[in-house]
Amino acid sequence: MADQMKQEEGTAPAPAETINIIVRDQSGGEVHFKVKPHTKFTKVFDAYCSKKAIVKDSIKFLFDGQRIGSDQSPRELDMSDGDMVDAVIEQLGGYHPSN
Amino acid sequence: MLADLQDGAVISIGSSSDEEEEKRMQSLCSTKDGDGPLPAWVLGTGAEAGAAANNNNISRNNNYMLLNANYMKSEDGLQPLRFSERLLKPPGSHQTDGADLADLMSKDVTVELHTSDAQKFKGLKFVYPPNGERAAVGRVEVTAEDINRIEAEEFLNDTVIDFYIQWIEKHLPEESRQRYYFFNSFFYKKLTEKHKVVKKLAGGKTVEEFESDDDE
Repeated sequence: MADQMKQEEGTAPAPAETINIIVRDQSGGEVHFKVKPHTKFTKVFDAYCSKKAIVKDSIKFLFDGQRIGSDQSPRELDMSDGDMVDAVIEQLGGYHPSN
Repeated sequence: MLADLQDGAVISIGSSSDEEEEKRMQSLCSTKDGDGPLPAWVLGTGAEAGAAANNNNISRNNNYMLLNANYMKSEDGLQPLRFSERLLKPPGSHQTDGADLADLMSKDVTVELHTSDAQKFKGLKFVYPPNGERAAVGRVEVTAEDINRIEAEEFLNDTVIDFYIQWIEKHLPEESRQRYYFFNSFFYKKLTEKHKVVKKLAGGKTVEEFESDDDE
């Protein structure tokens, strides 16, 4: 695991270019992030949640309607400058047999 | 799926409260590729018992999760992991005693998790579809906290539902899979928000682009 991580960091080129990613919540509020293409999304998620003062687990992030994995990077998802990420609240529901 | 949730309907994910069901789940996990465990997770929940109205007595220990352990990781990715043997109860003869993470990641191991194990797996994430499809779009990350969601009388969440939707999709026969498109649980909400993005959400396909059964 540790080796894998190192390898990834080692092989990832360090381009100076950054892309803008816009995280939009369900009420339309936008937060802009400048990220390197190989930056893992966990950083963006952490930054977003601490900025919004929300618990990380209660928010899911979607790109083009698909979930984003926290160890995925914008490059892996073919994101380009100005792409929009949706921050949606966890869906919780079900049925209690006793009710 | 989502509509069901909103209507308060029962989502059936299999229940270990029923012995036959248990066997079915076990066979699901051991039949593929002969003796190898299924590279997937199976979620079980007593919540299903609502459908079988006669079954109100759900043991709180009845819920289980079978996980493909080949893509486990800790939150920081570096913490060495060692699971006690009793957590690893693979179906069949698969030997995982004393397995550490390296072992787990090198082979497909099916782990049976009980909701009481949520604490032990704190900080861990399980990714589905598992290893080898790392960049897979829309894959689901299930956290240890999500294990609690299959506890009896708890609500399910989007992660559990989406995991199971993907599990179904992956286990359909190839020819059937061509006929369906699987949305995730956020689709309906998005659909009702704005219509422009819908085509994008369906992977660029429109309804007409799916082969209609009528043509056959």
